[in-house]
Amino acid sequence: MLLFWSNPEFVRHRRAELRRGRAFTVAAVVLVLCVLIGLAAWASAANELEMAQIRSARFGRPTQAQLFEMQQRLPSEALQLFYRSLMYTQAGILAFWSLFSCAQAVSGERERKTWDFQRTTRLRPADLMLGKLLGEPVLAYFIVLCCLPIAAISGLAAKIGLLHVLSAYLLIVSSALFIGLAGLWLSSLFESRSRGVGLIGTAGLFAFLALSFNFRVSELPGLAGFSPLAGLPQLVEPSGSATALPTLFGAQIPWLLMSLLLYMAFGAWIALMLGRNLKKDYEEMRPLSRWQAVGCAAFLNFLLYALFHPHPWSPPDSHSFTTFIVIMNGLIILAVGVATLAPHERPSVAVVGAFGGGCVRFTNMGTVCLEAGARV
Amino acid sequence: MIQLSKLRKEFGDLIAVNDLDLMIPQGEIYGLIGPNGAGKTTSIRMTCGLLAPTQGCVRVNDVDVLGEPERAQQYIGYLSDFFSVYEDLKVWEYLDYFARAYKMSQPEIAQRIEEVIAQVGLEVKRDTLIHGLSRGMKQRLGIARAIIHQPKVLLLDEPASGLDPKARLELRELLRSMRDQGATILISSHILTELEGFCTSIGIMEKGRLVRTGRIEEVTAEETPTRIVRLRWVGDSAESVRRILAERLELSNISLDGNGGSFHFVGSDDLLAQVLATLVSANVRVTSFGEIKQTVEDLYMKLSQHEVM
Repeated sequence: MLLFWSNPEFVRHRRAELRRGRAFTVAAVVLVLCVLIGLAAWASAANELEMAQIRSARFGRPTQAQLFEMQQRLPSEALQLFYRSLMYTQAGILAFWSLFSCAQAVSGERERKTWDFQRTTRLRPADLMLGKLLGEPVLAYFIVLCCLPIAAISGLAAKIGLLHVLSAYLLIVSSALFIGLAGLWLSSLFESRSRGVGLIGTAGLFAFLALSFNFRVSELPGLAGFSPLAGLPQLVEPSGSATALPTLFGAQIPWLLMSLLLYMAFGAWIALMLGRNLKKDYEEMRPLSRWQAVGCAAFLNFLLYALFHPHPWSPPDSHSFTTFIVIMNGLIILAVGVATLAPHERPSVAVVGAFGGGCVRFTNMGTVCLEAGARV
Repeated sequence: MIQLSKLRKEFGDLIAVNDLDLMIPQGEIYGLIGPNGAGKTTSIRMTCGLLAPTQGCVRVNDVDVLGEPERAQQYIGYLSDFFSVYEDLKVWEYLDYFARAYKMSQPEIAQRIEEVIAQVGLEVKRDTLIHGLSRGMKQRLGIARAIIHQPKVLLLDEPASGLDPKARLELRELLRSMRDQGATILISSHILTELEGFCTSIGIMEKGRLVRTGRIEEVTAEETPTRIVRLRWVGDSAESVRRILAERLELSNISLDGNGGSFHFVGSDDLLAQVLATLVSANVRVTSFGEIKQTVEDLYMKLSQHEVM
């Protein structure tokens, strides 16, 4: 694999999107926004102090000593707020930008009729994947790069440890890479970026990653690690977050580690699917081979087992647990079965739309299930 | 150089290419002609590795395109009919991208970019954003991209569509010079005049099959054993020239009028030279004497059933 800095696809995006004039403008805008966020953070902290002073004057609480202490803490509070705001903003920009730019990467090239020329070069699928993953959202990475010194200095000044700052960046970048990889895979499944289903898929993926945060109160709390929102509060707040830690085989592990494990494991499967198919013609794409599908189904079952953590106050009975596992396996087999099909073998949306009725829809899904089951 | 063996491509029930066998030696410019839907584009896409054949084998420079795609790509330059370029790059950046993508060595890239830009006549646009180029210039840039890595084989699918007449002539010159440098060119077109004059061999495709293939002279000779010769002279009457020509048994359909005319001839070039010598020795002052060549269009009209799938 070519080093990313000299990867032709990355170089192309860097050249096109980071011309000197644009780079200076972006850096200047980032600086201005940082100043505005800083002023807002200071105003928010000062406002809190002012409210405390009013309460103190009216009700005698907080006491003068407490007020004095709050005044002393004002710069530090403002810095912490500034740091938190910067980190969440960077996480949001990088995740959103990565997903939406990568989700149009391959389908956009197909639509512009430039994809065939990339496929006839000597670039391997891994080169293309890396170049697009880092190149498509290169402007977002540049924004983060511009923010990094300001965020790091403010974090250290706000008494957030260096390890926490580095860990927060690790989480932000790894989540962006995973989200970008998922977007890239999604875009490889569509012939054209103008198709509504592509946009719906992208929005759905984004919603899943954002809402997966809610898994933390389910019996599979580890799945919340898909969302960077699960681990980031622990890392950007000096006292850490009060959110319960996820479990792996029953043992508690930090959210950062959970997220990294999920990103690496699922990222590896997505990279495998992309590597197999990126240089193939659209009609010949078959995300997984039969044996890979078997491996994927086994992996997902293993993951369910590893992440399962019943609520101690209401452990599930054997019947509901079995039902849950059977339903999950049905979904897993359907998903990996579909992943072994080429586009022309998949159920046609047009056919479903033409007949419309729920019966046809059911029959069609049934066919997929049967075929998927047979293949696996 | 290009070898297609029992190449077949099926799209569901449709057989787009049906057991295609083709061997194109080095230095040939091979014109693949046929109506739309004959299987030309599918054959070219399989040859450059964009499409996997249902069965059969493609070898380019003795490398299996399906088995070793990355190795095969270094020998192949590909250009399709309708394509796009990266509008937000400069001309040299676009070529640099592909030079890197073909894994050319770094010192070689800069020199090669300048060479190719000069070859396609885009020197003054070197540092211009592609967004600002005309359609014809973008087409030339596409050609520059296809030859940036000095491929031994060029696969061109309707390369002249969208080009103005001047650019078409330039393209022909460029292809000739590439052939002179040893490149093998497979070019598909349904505009037959495009191929006239510079293809050395042709293949006629219909319904996924190659109905006729070979060097143009051979195919012409096979199809039209009778050659038509036109002559002009000064001085003598048409009747006296007709008498001289009528003595030769290999001539027929002699049609002379005033100081010129034509006749049909069956035989070798030696025999044709003897006919001319006979006229000269009989003191006919011949000003021109030459065979009327069959055009690719004539051949195609004669050989093709004009059937599409």
